[in-house]
Amino acid sequence: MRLRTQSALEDKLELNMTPMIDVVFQLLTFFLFTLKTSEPEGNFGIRMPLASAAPQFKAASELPKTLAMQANADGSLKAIIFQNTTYAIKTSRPARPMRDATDTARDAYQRALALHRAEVNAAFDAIQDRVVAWVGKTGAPGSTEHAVEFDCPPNLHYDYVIDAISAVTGRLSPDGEKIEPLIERVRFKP
Amino acid sequence: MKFKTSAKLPSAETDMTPMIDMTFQLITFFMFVMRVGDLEASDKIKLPGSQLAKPPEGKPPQMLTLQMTDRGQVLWSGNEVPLDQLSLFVRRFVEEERFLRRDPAATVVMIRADELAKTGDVQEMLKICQKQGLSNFNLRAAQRARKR
Repeated sequence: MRLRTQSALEDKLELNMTPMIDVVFQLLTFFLFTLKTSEPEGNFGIRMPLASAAPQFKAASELPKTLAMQANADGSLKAIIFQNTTYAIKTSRPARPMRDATDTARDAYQRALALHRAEVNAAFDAIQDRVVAWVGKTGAPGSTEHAVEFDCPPNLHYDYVIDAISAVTGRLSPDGEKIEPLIERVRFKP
Repeated sequence: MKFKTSAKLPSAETDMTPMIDMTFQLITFFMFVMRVGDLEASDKIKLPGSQLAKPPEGKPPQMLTLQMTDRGQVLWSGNEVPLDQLSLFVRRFVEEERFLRRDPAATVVMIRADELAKTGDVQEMLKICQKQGLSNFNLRAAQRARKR
């Protein structure tokens, strides 16, 4: 604060705003560097107690249906077997491009990946239709009387497991707003 | 810009008020856009996508985040830990929860695994948690819509 040495009627108080502006720029720089843009994430909640603590199934109708997946040597999906039907995956999954890959290589990777994903998605959509038919027969969607057990080879890529869980646990309503639950009890084969 | 009407050389004064207003606007924007909770999410991991993945409505009171890279390394607080040593860390976490008088069984374990991680490694991670009494899992996936 500076007080001007003038007559009493003309006294003015001046506030030096420079430090405040400096702090404001510091804050702005902090937020700029800590901002992280990432795609939105969501959850699948699964409750999996130890196998020995799980309740025994009382009737044969309560036994879980098995969704088995087979993998190629590189971990990509080879086939899905559900309710005695085999869904074979003929396209292969391309390897992730290296960091110094050219744009041409990246484009080729994206195209090959899109083809592979289209085939995998089609197979899981068909499986989801069978799950809807199964759940619709004996219980309301989202009831806990149905269970699915996933039998996955150890080298299978994790995203196929997420696809399988997505296909079996729920489906998006046609307007894309709500999730209709299908099967709540899922577990991995011990 | 104001010019002093005197015989001396003119001096230019700029009014900084609009710039400061813009700066405050920017700060307010970044404050609302920044999400503190996801600062621990590692960039090394590319999550698998799912159209069913919706953001959670609230944060559970007790949460343990386990991240796995495509090479099978577990990330514990940003450090790479081999899978065979993970049980030590999880056991220490459970003991800390008990020391803080919190029930470890109420902890939600959030699994963020890369899409190319091996399913066997993820299952091993789940088993390690189950052996320590943790049985509530949230598997994280990126929201990716697709047409049927």
